[in-house]
Order: sequence, then structure tokens, then C-alpha cells
Amino acid sequence: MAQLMMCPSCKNDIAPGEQYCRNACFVTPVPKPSADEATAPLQEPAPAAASSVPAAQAPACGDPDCPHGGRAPAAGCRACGRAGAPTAKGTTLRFDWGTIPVPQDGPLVVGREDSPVAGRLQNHSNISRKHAEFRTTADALTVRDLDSMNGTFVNGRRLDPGQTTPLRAGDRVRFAADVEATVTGETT
Amino acid sequence: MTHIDVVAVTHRGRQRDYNQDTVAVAGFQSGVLEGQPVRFAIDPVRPVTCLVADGLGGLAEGARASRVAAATITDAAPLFHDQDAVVRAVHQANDAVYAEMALTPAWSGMGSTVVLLVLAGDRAICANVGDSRCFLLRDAHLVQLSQDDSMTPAGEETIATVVTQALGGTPRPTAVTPHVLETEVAPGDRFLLCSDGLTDELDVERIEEELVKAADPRSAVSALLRAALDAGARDNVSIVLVTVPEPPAEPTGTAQEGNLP
Repeated sequence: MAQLMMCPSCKNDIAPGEQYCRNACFVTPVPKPSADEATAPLQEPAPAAASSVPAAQAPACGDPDCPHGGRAPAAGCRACGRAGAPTAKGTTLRFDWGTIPVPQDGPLVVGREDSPVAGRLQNHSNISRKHAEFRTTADALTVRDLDSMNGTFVNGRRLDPGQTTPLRAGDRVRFAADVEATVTGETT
Repeated sequence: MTHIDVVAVTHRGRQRDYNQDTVAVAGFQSGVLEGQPVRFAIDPVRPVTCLVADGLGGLAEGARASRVAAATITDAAPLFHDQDAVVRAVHQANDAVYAEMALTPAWSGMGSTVVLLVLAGDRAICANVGDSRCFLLRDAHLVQLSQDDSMTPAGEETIATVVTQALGGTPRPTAVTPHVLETEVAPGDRFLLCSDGLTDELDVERIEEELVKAADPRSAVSALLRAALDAGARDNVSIVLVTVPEPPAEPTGTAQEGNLP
């Protein structure tokens, strides 16, 4: 028996051999699921549809044309449509009270001692003296928790101490309970 | 105030896995894989700009070039009161494609055609680079307003023409000279913008016939897309049909005056 086909858009049945939905949908037909699996999600769309929808693999950046093959773009990846410069150069951390650039040549330590933001953090006793460290490489920005007492969080998820985690523009990094910074690709 | 009626669609066709075409209508842009005709009613308080850009180059790069070109021109569209502004925007789009190309070596050589139509008051400005076309349907006759930048390889009977000018399209920045044509707009005029995916599959007489016999703009675009798909649709198909409203039976001016107390 010929495989029954349907329009994935308007759900109408489509005769086998038809190349597109003539119900003004113009969508490539997909195999119609049989009655017992009608409620299950369609596992195998038509080959043409599968090859033509690279987005089905859900690239992390959401760009089907992603030149990085769907990997999460580095902070400031302009190619993926994120704000910022083509490289991580110019990546900054935006706090409530101002913006701190991440230097190209060395790590940026956030904490209450030996840190360019130490003065701003004196009132936050829940932040460790050396809390977290940011580094830029040629095309990525990373953060590492320096075994802080109360933890470093990226978009609400606590990092394991010592674990190096890549960041993207727009990520929110929280230090202990109530100091938060947003990663931006803008130059200030 | 009567509105300008635009129906637009872009579709990957039946051979390509990607849609490298981009259409834009009054600031709305689409490069969707398998689009359906969408109808717009546009208040001509601003210049009304519609465009079709057909990306050239392997895989996704052509799509990228056509999106960049379309977005750049669309951004400048509110200022399209004269030919100079339109030409300037086309040059900016060319620059933008080369700027995008410089980001990644793999994108070297990506390019896009563009054909755009601006309705500004009673004037229409048509500009194009490459082989995407603009036609005017007036008195049931289809006239091409754009000027193709393409040539058929000598001695070959083929639809595979070579585009001689495009936005981007070469590894090194190259200037473009858009073809520009300005004309009067008459009530009831219909303008058709399309990529070569339509004109390669259907000859001009067939397009004219479909437009003339269709009951309304939406069914006209559906009929054209259906015909192109049935003919094989080897390339991406994009169609934008712009309809200038007919004046109402009685002139609006006097009608409004008559309603005044």
C-alpha cells in the first residue's frame, strides 16, 4: 500500500505522488501517521523536509545558517546575529552600577580583594574575596568559580567550583545571592 | 485614503533544500522555506517599498547575502522619495554584503540580486541589480521595467544564465550600477516582482495570462506559485504582486466635502 501523505501544516490528506499541498499551503507533504501512532510526534518527516530543516537539530544559537555548526556562539558573535563585535574583544560585564571590560591580556577576577570591582563589593559580605574569574580567548569568554563560599551562577544555574564555563552575550552571571552582571558584546 | 494591496510569497521550490530568496514588503521581510501567500494592505503615507532578493552562492551563503541586502535596503526605505535615495541604498546594500563576507572566509563570493519597487505618491521607482525582475501589468499587458544583468553562455540553449552584476558575488569589493526606471503610476496598475525561479519556469505570456484571469491578487499569486511548482520549480520562487487601488466610483474628495456639515 502506498504511504499515505498529509500536509504538516493544514493536516489535509495529500494523494501519494503530489509534490506539495495544493490547499494554498504549498508545503512539502509528510507521511501520514497511522491511527495508533497519530498522537505520537512524527518521528520521520519526509526526506526532503528533513534535509531542508537543519533547525530541527536545534542549534544552540537558533540560526539555521550558523557558521559555527550550531555550537553556542561565543560572546559577541556577530555572525549569529548576536550583538557585538566579531571577536570577544570588547566583551564587558554590565553590573547595575556600571560596565567593566574584560581585559584581553589577563583574567578579570571578581571578588572583594585584588579585583577591579572590589570597591563596589565591600558591602556584599556573601561574596568571597576571590569569587570568580573571567577570561577571554580569541573567540570565547569563559567564567570559572574560584571555590567561592556562596557560588557563581550562570542564568540561574550554579557552577561547580573550578569548572570553566563558556559564556554568550546576554548571559546573566550572578555572584552569591544578589550581585548580578550581564555579559554584553558591546564596546563602551 | 485607499491602501496599496501587496501579496507576497517566497518558496524553496521543488529542487532546492534551502530558500536563498528574500522578499520584503513595507519593512516586513521573509525568507521562509515554504511560504504561503500573505496579503498586506499598506497605507501609502510613506513611500511603499517592496523587494525581492535572490541569493547566489553555495548552501546558506546565498540566503545570508539576500537577507543582508534586503535588510539594508528596507532600513533605508522610509527615505525613498527620489531615485538618488534608492541608488544610495542599493550601494549600501552592496557594501553591507561585502562587510558581511569579510567576517568569515567561507562566505567569500556570496552575493544577491535585488529588484525593488518604490511607490511614492504618483511615481513608481524600479531599481534592480541582477536578473530578478519587475513587471508592470497595465491594460492587460505585461511590460518588464527591470533590466536583466544576465547573459546566456554563447551557443547554449539553456535557462542557466550567468548573472553579470550582483550585490556582492565576487571575493573583492566591486561597485554596482543599478538599473533605475521611474514612471507614472496609474490607478489599477499592477506590479509584479519575482525571482528568476518564476520566470525560468513560466514564460511572460503565461504570467500575463495568470494575472489577467485571476479574480483577486491573492489567487493570482497562488496561481503563479502553483504553476511554477507544477513546472518543476528548479530554483527558489518568490513573487510579490503590488496592486494600486482603482479610484472609488465617485471621487473621494467630493464625497467627503458632501459629508461636511
